[in-house]
Amino acid sequence: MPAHADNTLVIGAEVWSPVDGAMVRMAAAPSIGDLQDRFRAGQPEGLSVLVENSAADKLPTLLKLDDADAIAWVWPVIDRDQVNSVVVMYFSNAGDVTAAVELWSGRPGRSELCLADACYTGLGRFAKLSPHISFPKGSGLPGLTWETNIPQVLEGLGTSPTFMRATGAESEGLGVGFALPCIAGSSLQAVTLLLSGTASPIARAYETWLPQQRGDSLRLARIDGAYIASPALEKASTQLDVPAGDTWIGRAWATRKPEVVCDSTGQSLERKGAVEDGLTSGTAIPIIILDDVAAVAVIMW
Amino acid sequence: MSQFGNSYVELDRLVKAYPNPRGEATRVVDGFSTKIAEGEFVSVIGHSGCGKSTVLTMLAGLNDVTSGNIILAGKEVSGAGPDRAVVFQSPCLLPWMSAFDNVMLGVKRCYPKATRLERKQLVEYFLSIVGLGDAMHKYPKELSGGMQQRVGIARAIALRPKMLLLDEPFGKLDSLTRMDLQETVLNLLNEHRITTMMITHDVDEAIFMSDRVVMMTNGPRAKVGQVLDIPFERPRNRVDVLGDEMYYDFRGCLIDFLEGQDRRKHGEPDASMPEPKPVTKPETVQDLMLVQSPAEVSAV
Ligand SMILES: Nc1ncnc2c1ncn2[C@@H]1O[C@H](COP(=O)(O)OP(=O)(O)OP(=O)(O)O)[C@@H](O)[C@H]1O
Ligand SMILES: [Mg+2]
Repeated sequence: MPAHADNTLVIGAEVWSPVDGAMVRMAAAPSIGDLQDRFRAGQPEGLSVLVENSAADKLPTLLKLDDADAIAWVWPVIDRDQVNSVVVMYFSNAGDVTAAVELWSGRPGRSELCLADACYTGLGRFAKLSPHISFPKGSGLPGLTWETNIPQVLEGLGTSPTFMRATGAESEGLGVGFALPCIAGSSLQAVTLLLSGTASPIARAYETWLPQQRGDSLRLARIDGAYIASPALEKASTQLDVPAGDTWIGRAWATRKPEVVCDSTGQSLERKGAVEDGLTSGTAIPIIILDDVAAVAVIMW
Repeated sequence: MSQFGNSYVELDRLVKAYPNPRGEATRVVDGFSTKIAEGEFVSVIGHSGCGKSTVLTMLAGLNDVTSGNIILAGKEVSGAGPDRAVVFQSPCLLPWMSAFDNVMLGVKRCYPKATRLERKQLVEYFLSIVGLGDAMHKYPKELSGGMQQRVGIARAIALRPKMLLLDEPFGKLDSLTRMDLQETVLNLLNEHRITTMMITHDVDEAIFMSDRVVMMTNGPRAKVGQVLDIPFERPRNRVDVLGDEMYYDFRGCLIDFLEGQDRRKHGEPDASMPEPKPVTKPETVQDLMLVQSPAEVSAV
């Protein structure tokens, strides 16, 4: 029997957009009222300041809230030098879980991606060692994401030759990873890694979608994915493509803005298998390089 | 200790291709990049034959670069020069000259305006800091391997180089002599902070001596696979380093990397190992420049 969505670490997601010079929360999935207030309380001037800073610096950030046992991951979507939206995702940090959210970025005087910030739960040596490690372009999951410029899905972290910290991942129970590049124009601002075990995954599905020429129409096609305890979804997801503007994923591509969807039935995910597997929510994040949406990263839970 | 700001040495996408027996160019090293800050000590580790010496000799100017750039103190490096002193496994001393005269050769070249007395004092100084105060007038054949290597190190330092390049400098020595010389070199670098690149096969040596360890992938087409920062304070003392709670984690990290490279080399496909299927870059997408975040951010 497929596991239910309540063992995932995602609590919710929001999209904020600039309105009259301020960042305003436009959409949320699902409503996370109380937690949101506590994040607000954790930041002296409120979460909106964090969102605004992230937008101004064009850099993703992490906020850990001890009393809420949760973290917020703040991710700007940058389109031709303007931040068109900021995605905020909330992850639970409580209980017996094994997970990591990492931000990798450049550092003066170095040619590699170095760890800029991270939040580790249930990890020992992996967490202790990672701040001392850095990855050049093309190497490890951060370096591969930098080289390819598109989101990377990686399963079997503990044995993967791509994942340089495999031994640590294996002994500490990290199984699946999703890496997203944050790009401004043609510059890599940062890479985020979402890593977790499969018993308490951060999310239930990670996907990379790329524009493809099919016949004479340009479509968005799912070219990679990892599905955790979601067999029906996995089965229904192998060969998928959508025209621009179709479904929430096609909309993220066409509008160049992130989408969040949610309803308790799972219908709004518009995907076979999602309802059966008990998934209810999703986030689609466009990855824009210069003028083009190079990819759409999809996270479902 | 990467507390240093900007880079002093920059190796940018170095490539070395040698013709193979069929006359085709094989890229032994393919895209090796790293930056080194002034005064920093960087070690390079990697499996035998991966191209470590190739990188070091290109930096020394003793081996042509097929493509890529090397910048030292703001200037493009081309050809060998006294600003980079190299020490190999065997010190190549002139056998008909005493230790003193071997070092004097370098001192004469570097301090052409010094008086005889000043030069003599310099040679005595450099030989005494490597622990040869009592053996200055011995000939190479009268010196042990370790002592000969000490002369080689004194000769290199006496050049007052901008950069010291060490290619397995202790590789031929027994372990006690080796530890002794590691400490000699560290003490010497505490006094004269010379930017150093050292190649070694010994992970403990790399951790004890370096600010940073660059791990090279297996060749052909070798490049930097991963970098490990070693944050131990200087001056370092072996007991403290070995006793640090991070020591075995650093050691494990380096060994894991080498073992991972080994598995790839021997193509030992572990039954449970999934095929790597990284999604590749769409052709329309260009290379991204890495933004250097202005703030030096620390990780939790
Ligand atoms: N002149 C040359 N012509 C052709 N191939 C060469 C030449 N010099 C080196 N090579 C090849 O280049 C590769 C790298 O050699 P290099 O000496 O740099 O390795 P290394 O990492 O220093 O090895 P070791 O740890 O054994 O010293 C080897 O496969 C070697 O055979
Ligand atoms: Mg060599």
